[in-house]
Amino acid sequence: MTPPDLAFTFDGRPLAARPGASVASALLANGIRTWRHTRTLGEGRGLLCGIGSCFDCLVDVRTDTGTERAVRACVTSLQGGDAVSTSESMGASRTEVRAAVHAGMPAGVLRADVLVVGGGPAGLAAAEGAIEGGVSVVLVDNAARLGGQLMRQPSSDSGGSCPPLSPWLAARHPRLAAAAELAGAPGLAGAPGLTIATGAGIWQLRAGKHCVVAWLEDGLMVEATAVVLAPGATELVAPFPGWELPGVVTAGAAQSLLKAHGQLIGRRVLVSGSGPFLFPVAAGLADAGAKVVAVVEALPARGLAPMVAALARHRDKATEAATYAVALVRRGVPVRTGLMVARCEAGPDGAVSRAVVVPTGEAGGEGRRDAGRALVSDRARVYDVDAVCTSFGFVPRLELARQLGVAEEVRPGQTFAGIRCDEGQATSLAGVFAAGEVTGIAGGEVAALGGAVAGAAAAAYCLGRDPRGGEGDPRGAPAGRRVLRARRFAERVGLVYRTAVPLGVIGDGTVVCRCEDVRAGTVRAALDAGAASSREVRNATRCGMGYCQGRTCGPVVQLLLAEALRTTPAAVGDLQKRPVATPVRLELVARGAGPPA
Amino acid sequence: MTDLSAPAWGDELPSGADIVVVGAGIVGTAIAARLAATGADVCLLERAGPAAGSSSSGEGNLLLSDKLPGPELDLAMRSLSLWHELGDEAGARIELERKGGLVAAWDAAQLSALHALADRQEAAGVAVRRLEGVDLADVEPQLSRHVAGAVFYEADSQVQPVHAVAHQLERAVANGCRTVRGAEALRWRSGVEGAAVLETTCGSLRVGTAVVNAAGPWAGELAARLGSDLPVVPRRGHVLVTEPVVSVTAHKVYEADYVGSIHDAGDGWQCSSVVESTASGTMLLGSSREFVAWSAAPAPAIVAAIAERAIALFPGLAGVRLLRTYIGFRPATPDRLPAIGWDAEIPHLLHATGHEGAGIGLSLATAEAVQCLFERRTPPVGLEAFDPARFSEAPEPTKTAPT
Repeated sequence: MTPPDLAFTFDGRPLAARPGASVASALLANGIRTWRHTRTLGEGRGLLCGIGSCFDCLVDVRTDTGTERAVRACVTSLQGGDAVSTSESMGASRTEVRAAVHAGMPAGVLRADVLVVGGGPAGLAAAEGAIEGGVSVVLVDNAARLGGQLMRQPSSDSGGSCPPLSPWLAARHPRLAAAAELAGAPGLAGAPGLTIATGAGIWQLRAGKHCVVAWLEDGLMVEATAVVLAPGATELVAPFPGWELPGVVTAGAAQSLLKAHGQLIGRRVLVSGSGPFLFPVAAGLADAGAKVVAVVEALPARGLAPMVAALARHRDKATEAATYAVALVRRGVPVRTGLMVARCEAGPDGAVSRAVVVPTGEAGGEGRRDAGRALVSDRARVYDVDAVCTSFGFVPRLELARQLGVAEEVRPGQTFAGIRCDEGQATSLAGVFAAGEVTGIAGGEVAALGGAVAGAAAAAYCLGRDPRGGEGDPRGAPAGRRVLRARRFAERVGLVYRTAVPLGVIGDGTVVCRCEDVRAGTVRAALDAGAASSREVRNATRCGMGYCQGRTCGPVVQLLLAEALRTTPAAVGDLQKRPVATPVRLELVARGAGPPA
Repeated sequence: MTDLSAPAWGDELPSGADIVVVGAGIVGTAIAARLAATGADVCLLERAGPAAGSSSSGEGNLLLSDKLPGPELDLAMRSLSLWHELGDEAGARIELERKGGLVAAWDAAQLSALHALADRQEAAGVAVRRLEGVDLADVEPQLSRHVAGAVFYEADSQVQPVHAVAHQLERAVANGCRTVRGAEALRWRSGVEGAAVLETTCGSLRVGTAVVNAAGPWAGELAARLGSDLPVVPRRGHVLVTEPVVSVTAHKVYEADYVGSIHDAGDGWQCSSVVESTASGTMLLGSSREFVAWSAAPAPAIVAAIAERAIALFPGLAGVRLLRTYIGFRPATPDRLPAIGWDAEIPHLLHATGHEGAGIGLSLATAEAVQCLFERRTPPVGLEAFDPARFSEAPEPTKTAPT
């Protein structure tokens, strides 16, 4: 029997949505793509990252218990009777000072041997590894459900009940399976030796002499002897004129919307950007019934030749690529290389309706300092669309690592810094281990293998044992070889795609910082005035000072700076130093410092 | 927006300059701009970037309310009038706002002490308004009902310090000041007869009249490198930034014991609530004071205390989200007064630093005073109380920070 729909309203209009929907998926299912207006210019905004990272999709939600202002539509579960309304701004004109009305988790302190940060492939493997190693674990993930981006789980189909556990979790992490079953909804779940806290992020992480302490945005505090950092990565979105229009989203947003809610981002979709991630997203959308008008890769075919060579050496990756290729061919999705979106245009409703695609080289340089003039190219092609998915790769999510102060490095083939760790996944700080994309973008296989090693190493650390297990772990060597192999592939892929972000198309009028409405011209003026680091650009322009704290614009600022100063993005510094990793209510901040860190 | 003719900053190190200013913060750039405008041969050295230190780590306060009557209040009043002149010239760019400050007392004892201070400030020419009950609620409707009374200082103002530094830098460069980025002053070059030569990480330059130490909280270290002993140490502070909210207050509001905390140099840390809104809608919450050298990691206990006291002042802040925190280092002297003047021992060395948390506000009168010293004129505000020589004359009564 189909569970009854949820009734809710948007700006007073009565609507219905499937149970388990997020506010964003419910609005999109009703054909609503715009639900915020910017503070300075009143421009429409909707979904962007889809995973709670960018804070661009803010809405106000009135519930039985009160009104929550400026909440993220993408990660807020819709409840029956909710009154959703347009957030007129990032807050200044609408957000009133309010008494707290949240019914979050009770404040409390959890203690465990190992704290695992992140419930994706790396974090899950780490938790499993630590439990196998004989220690207790607290696993924290800011999403409502475990799985991370790669293994994202469907939302429950009835409020509060548990989703069916997908086979991969049961097969890979049997000890987690039972607890994860309980962790179907945000909150706490557990099994002996394992506590899972979902639906709340860590805003502050501190390392003491013999412990780490994490403060969660819902007031929970976790104290542990060791920590495994596996927070993953955020998507790199390169701006172009019109990238701020509702309907232009990250490729990851389209994918997670589909995986978690079965919701298509649009009916006619262009998938554009650069990198291998475009293909699974396009294939998934096409398989789910969207008309994918094209996959547009910024690199020219000749630039992709090394990719073919890399695939030839990695049979498993070639098989995966072939799956997507078959899916795209079967659905008649054209794949075009050497092209990029020069601009997107809005339809009468203010959301994206057309995407202008031009050869990458031609767009380069034309847009710069020329926001008013249209890009003209003989080979320009216009697609009528209701959604554009864009992605230029991923950026390791370093804010918690930065709070602890672990060493970082730029691995070969990487554009941005990640956590530096040895083959035992140990970082520069005792008791702090890391795994997955936060150590450098390398995909789910490296993440899961590294996570298992990190979890075992963290357990050994807690028990005062040699992490290598003394006798020699029979599983260690082949796993190590697989990690090396997968990393080598990631390195090859990284080298192919590292130059693919077209900055020339970013006109002076193009928005760079969406939170604070900072345009590229303002950023370039700061560069002209001598700004030589991301921090200086931020202080001069407010780029990165909004809700997302530079998660979205930070890498772009790095790329613009690096281009202007003819250096590498890593050399100009980033905006990932975030003493507050995710916004947290002051009353919870005031609750105290907790145990001595 | 982009002005390609705008002077980019960053010259090669010149072979010499009459006056070498070290530090492109609010004080150094104000001095460079002022001296360059008179035609002086000025070179500004900066090891990091404009406003890279304390100048970008505060709130941009231009306050009279927290100044005790005497030389510091005189300097602050002079500086504030210079700020208003600069505001007329620089327009909206430096975001000068006469927002007014409100000092809140929790009980009768605090209030009577506050009133006594206000009486003396009023006698010195500061406009004050004593507010209680309904009058107070009219001015600050969201303020805690537990506040016993307050004094409102309409002259208290605020400026965007990073933009103010950029403006001063442009003025300096437009008047011929050379600016060298990435140059850190190291030491005097020895063995040069009849001339002062400063060694930097970018090479050496001949100094005509003086090196001006405007290195903020690093001024003590710079003085030591140049053979002097100046007790300026970093005094750390935390600022919390909230999400944008509808105006909780249009003013800068702080607890009456804030003034005491500035002048208290005890062990541990002090926290006194300072709450204010900004043009972008966010609220800035302060403030803490502690001597922990250059420790850069925020202290959870202090962040919690600032949040707690801000909520005590404005209960509605409880549900407002914190977006970020930042840390800054104030250049602190043992008596909390700036060091402005010639070094007692070392020739060619002039100090303009040690303003604690008031450097933005006091920068313009400081620059004016420095100009007067070079021109051998009497400055509008007497500098006796700020003479760096005072530290070498008497034994140090108060504690300095561990280094």
